[in-house]
Amino acid sequence: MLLEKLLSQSFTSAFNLFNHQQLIKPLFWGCSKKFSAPLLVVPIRGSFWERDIKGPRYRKKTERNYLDDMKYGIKELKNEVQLWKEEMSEKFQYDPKVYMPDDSEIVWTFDTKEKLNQWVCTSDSDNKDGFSHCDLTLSKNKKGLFSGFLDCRVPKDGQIKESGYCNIRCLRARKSFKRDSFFDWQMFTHLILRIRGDGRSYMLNLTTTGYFDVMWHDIYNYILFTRGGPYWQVAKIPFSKFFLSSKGRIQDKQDPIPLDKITNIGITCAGKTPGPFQLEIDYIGVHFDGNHTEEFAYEMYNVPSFIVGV
Amino acid sequence: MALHRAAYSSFLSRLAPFGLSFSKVVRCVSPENYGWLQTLRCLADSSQVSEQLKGEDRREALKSQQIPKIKRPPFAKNLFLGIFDKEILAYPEVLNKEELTDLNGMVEVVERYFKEKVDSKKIDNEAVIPEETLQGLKDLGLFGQQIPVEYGGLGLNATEFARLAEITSLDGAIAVTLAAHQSIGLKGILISGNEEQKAKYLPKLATGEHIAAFCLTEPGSGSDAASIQTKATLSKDEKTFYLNGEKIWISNGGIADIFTVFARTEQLNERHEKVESISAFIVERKFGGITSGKPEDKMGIRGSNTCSVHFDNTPVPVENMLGKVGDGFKVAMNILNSGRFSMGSSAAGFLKELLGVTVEHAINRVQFKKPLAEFHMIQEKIAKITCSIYAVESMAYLTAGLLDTLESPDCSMEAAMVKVASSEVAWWSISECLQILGGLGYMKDYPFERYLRDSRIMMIFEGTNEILRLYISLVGCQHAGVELKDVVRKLRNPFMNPAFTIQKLLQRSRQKNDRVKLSMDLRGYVHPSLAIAAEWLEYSVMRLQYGVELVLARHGKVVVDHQMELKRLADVAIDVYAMTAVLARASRSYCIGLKNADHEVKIAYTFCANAMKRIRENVKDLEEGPYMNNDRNYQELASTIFKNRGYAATHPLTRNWY
Repeated sequence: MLLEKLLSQSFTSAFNLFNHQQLIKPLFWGCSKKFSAPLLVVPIRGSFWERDIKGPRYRKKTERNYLDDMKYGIKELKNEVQLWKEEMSEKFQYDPKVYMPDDSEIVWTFDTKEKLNQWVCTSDSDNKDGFSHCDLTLSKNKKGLFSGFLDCRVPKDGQIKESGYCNIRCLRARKSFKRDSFFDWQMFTHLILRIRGDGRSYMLNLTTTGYFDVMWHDIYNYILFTRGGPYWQVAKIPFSKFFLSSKGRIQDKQDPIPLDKITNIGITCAGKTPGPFQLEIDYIGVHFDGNHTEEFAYEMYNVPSFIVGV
Repeated sequence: MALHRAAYSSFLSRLAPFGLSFSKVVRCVSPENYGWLQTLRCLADSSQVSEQLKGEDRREALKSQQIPKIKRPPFAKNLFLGIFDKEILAYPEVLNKEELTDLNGMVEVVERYFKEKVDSKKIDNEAVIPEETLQGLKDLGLFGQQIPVEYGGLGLNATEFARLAEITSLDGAIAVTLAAHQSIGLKGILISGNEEQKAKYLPKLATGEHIAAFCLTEPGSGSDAASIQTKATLSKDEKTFYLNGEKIWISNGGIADIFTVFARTEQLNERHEKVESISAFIVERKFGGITSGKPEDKMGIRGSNTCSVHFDNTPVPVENMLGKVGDGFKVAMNILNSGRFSMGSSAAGFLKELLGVTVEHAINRVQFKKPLAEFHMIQEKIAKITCSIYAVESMAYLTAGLLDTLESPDCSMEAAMVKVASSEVAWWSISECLQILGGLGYMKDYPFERYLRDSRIMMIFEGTNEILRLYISLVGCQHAGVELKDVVRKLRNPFMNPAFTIQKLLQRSRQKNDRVKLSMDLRGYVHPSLAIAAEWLEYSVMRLQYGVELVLARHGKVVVDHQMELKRLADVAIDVYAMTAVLARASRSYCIGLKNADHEVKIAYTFCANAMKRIRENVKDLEEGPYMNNDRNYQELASTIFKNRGYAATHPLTRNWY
């Protein structure tokens, strides 16, 4: 009886959350009423419905000047129409690329300043979450150089428990008129990178932002192990090895990566080893290995209920 | 709103906590698959207990509170009925953390000894193992590996024994000396000996003070062990047997102090008639009347001592009989059956070593401005050798795992499969390694020719591969025959059982067209990345069962006389077992994320594809029968040759016109 009562209470409060100022409510993860039990307590405002992709904490409120926006928009219109024309002509020509086994395509190179502008550098110090800083610059041999300083000190604001990350991420794939689009890599099986690292392990992130708020933060991760030393290395990582995480938490329910729905790619430097780091990147591309048939490298067993940690 | 399917399902799965139902295709693990899980839990418990204990006590405690053994039906026998025990696809976890650490320490020591102190080339040249080398082996405790701790042995279980065999096999002569001593020589005392016999003989055997030998083969009796002629006659006072006869090709025959001897005994049955049967005896050299012939000059394993042993009125006290009167044949078979499994890991041990040397050569040797490693035919050879080694290794440790984790394991068939597969793989792989080395491999400076010679014996001793193939398929057919008795009877009288026949024809139409219906869901028992290979395995299991049914229906009880068909069945069964072991191991490695696990997955796919191809071919041959699959031709050709006492075709230069 008590459980049922608690259950109904939690759902009513979930639906009434616009009126209530309550932040914390127990959330039930049980499947049927019989076995319901509160397993964790999370702020409902952050878990049931999200207003903002950046989260309330990181939204910067700026005063918008509509006149400036319009001026900028009209200036952009010319480029967008040009882009749209190209898209249309491509559509009517209908000459899709055909890939054969062992074909690769280089998607990003880092040899000019303009190309580096397609990447966004972020680190915890940007949001006053920490003290790391990083930069993506042109190295002296005309390659991209992702470098900076990883700092694991935690700011003493009483809220943050861990700190220390640096990240680069490419701009989202888009179509004309600033419409969102995706990278479609269904023909490919591997991600290839030509890099020169410092011996640290980096995290590769393939973002697959979805339509609903629960899918906004879907990121598929895999580790990029680097060698220190003067030699370049080519890392060839199967897409099947990328695993799903959301908001930095590896998900219990995994799924193969939807290769036609990739929105961004990023590289993170984080961990418990503070200090300077640098990763020189020649190119990032995709590769089609005809012999690679694996769809997803992780187990997908449906474990019987209430068996944890197997 | 166009939602991608996968994204949609991932979205739905995230809604599940909110009590919203959804259907999603996920593999299910059935509850019975958690047998191994229980094992793991027990392991966890035992390691907790061991925190409080120290040193030897801890090891004792661990041994005593072992994992409860699981009772399971015989795996390989049931394959002949098309029954596949899915739990076997969870590769056995036998050793806990401490046992594994202990074992690795032991392996390291033995490996160092073999690398530094054992000169295989010298042993091979001089055809004798130096006394100090033997003493070193004894000091390491290698003469009492499987003898329980209370009798002064190492008390290793099958898995640990198999692991050490990987190292000791680096020298063929030493491996055979050790195997003759403990895998067969003293195994009789371990398996069938009573307490007094164990207490009297095992401590000295464990230290290597006494060396054991196994005396079964006679001039007139090789594979047919039931036909031995050595006689044991009971004295009038019924206290002593007198042994008379000759045993040949006895490994350790010249150096052994304790012999397990099989001889004919006469006794009276209930009707007071004289009946002859075979009994086993423990015979000490000091009993007298034992002479050893001169050591044989052999092709391989030259350092091991092989000679004939004569028994001339050797007195053996009655209490030295192993088991009861007439138990001899059973004892012999038990000893041989239980010793074979370690040959798999032995083969894997030296093959891995040889592969390393070969690969080194292929990388460094440049021809046509390219290293050998870049030539595709060399790559193919290396890959095939790798797959074979992997299969043999997986089979050996799976079998050892079964022996260790099952309650009263019935693994003689599995062990025979391991022996056949490993001996053939060893011979073929070494030959291929030698081929890659070209001329160098043929030279005596390199170890390859020695390994080739040494490994040839593996196909011959401990039951020739032909006999073992017959053993595998006949035991399988016998097991299946009991269940299929009714089916076979009806199949053999189709017109008397029209309804049954029509039903069976319908069932078989899929098998006839080689489109087997898969209903066991084996793909759910391995890592999803191996699902396709698991389906191949399932196909193979179904084909084996079809083959058994075909052969039994065709020949009934006289199936015994159709050896070529039995050989095919045995080959199919061996391949199925190998596929099972390979898949189980690769799946385990990939799930727990061992180093190079994706390489293992690729090996598994490659091996299974080839194995399935062989199985398809073999079952097709069985289906087509002797007139289509050349069996009849083989028989007729051979009979002509035998009639002619040699090659019968006339020389191509012969003229019969002038």
